[in-house]
Amino acid sequence: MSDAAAPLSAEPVNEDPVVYKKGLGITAWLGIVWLGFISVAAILAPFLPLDDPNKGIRNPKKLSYFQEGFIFGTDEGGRDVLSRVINGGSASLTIALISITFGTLVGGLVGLIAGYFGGKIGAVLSSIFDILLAFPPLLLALTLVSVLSPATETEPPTRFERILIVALAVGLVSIPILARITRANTLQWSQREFVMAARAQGAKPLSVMFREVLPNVVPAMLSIALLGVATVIITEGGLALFGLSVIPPDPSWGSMVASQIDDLNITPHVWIVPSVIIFLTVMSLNLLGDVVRDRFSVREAAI
Amino acid sequence: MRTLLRRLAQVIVVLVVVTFFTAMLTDLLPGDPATTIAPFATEEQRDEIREALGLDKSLVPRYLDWAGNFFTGDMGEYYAGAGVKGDDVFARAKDSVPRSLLLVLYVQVLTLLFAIPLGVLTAYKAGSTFDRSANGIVFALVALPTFVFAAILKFWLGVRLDLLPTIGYVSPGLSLVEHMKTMAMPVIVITVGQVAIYSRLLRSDMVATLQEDFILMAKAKGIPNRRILWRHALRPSSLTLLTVAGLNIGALIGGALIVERIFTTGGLGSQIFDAINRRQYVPLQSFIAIVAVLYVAVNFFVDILYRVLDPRIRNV
Repeated sequence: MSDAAAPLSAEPVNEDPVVYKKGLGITAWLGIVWLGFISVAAILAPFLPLDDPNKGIRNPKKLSYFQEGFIFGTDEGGRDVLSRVINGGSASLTIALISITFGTLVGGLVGLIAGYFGGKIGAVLSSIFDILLAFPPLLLALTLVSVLSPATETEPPTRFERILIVALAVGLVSIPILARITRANTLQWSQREFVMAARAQGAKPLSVMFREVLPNVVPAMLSIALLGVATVIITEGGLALFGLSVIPPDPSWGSMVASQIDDLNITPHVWIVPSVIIFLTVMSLNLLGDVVRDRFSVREAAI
Repeated sequence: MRTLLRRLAQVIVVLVVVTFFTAMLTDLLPGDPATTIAPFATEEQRDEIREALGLDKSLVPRYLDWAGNFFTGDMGEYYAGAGVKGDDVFARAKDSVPRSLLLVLYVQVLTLLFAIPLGVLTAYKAGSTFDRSANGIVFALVALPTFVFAAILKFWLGVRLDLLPTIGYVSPGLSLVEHMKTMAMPVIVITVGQVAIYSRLLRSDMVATLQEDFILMAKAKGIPNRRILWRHALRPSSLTLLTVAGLNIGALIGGALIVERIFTTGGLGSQIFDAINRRQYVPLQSFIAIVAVLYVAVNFFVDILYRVLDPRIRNV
């Protein structure tokens, strides 16, 4: 893959006075409210008056919506779908949060170094991204989870080991993307006058990098990280289809859909509920990612 | 020509790194790989597995052995239990690769067939109700994960309406109609998402192109709109599309693996799912390597195509 670097111009990135719309707009607020709602539910999951998500076998099994006080019914094992979808949210969002934090920290730092120092360091780091990008992202995540955390009979991984490994595998996949975008933005900002001024005054490279360049690159990283959280939620579902997300019967949004995929007709609500939640969450994150991008007029950096 | 050779050298380096990584996968397994592969085997049988995997050799000879076998089609067998000869991995690979390639090919052709007219039309009518509703639909489609869309189609078209088979694959040589029926849902699921991305990209490039002076000139000369759109504006607007097509192959392959697993088409996605489920690490290694090698090869091909189409970067 050829590395189309951002043009090295001395031109300021954007000098147009940006006209802000007042407020965020109704859709962005709806997105924030939805994300707040599911985050609070996921954080409070252990304290809510809910059934154990893995406790099953009720008579009758397979209740549909609003039957016998179960808002989302029960699944084919007689487990409370509402409880599973909230606890599943904790798992999915934990995976998303850990992997994006990991990806942004490592990818951002590497991208910053590659963009600021350029030259040989930049070239070496870029070719490392290229090699990481030589695997299709899902395949790399799938490979890492399947060999690092195999569900063998003798020593199955614990719930938290699995979540951590899934999160790190997905995070690793996001590193080259975040690194490239940070690098492209760093290249642009490093050419600006105030950065040169700081350098001319004898500021140390690291201090210029973190105090002058980094604050300006953060909006781009933030907008990509928001989209990244959405991507991780989708990737978790992809891994779940291959049996590589949380270990059954533990719930996550993806694995709730995956558990039904071979027979969608037994208890359709069991996969429809998490599907709708995934859809709304991903849409909200995409929306906010766009808002951040427009606000800070982040250019779609050369990927 | 020189750039071509340089690209070729790059590709070979990437291929070596990628296959090295897959060859060493069994080392990443926690504990003793032989125990993980054959949990109920005796110590002698495990020794045999260790020898077959070359775990007693050092890294480089082991890699060379593995790569030599892989590229000559000797991919080992499935582990079927003590002393039993399992299925040949290469035979399965030979059967599944064409299925995956056909799927990706259909998707790519249909995507361009729908995305280009949609992109051109929405750019021409930028700001109209048609454009805005297309934008809204695309925004929603981008948030719809492949596996959710696949579940919806499989449930609705396959189970409820019973129009299309929910699993399986029929080769085109056997029955073309049945082939199209089995491929319909997998192809639709990936294509819709791709059309959403590509048409928006083409639209934004096209909107920019349509504001250029040479378009104004063409209009002033009285050239009909249709000709301006298709002859004058499309080609300069289509380069981003190609770049993104290259970058998008990774996502496309990921989508194909997911869809193949959901619709059990017997393609590479189905094989990987089966290998993971049955803890068949030796075949898993080969299938992962096949997907990775195909990916690198396709990327190389797109890169070459890009250079042919865009004279500006031919000599960079």
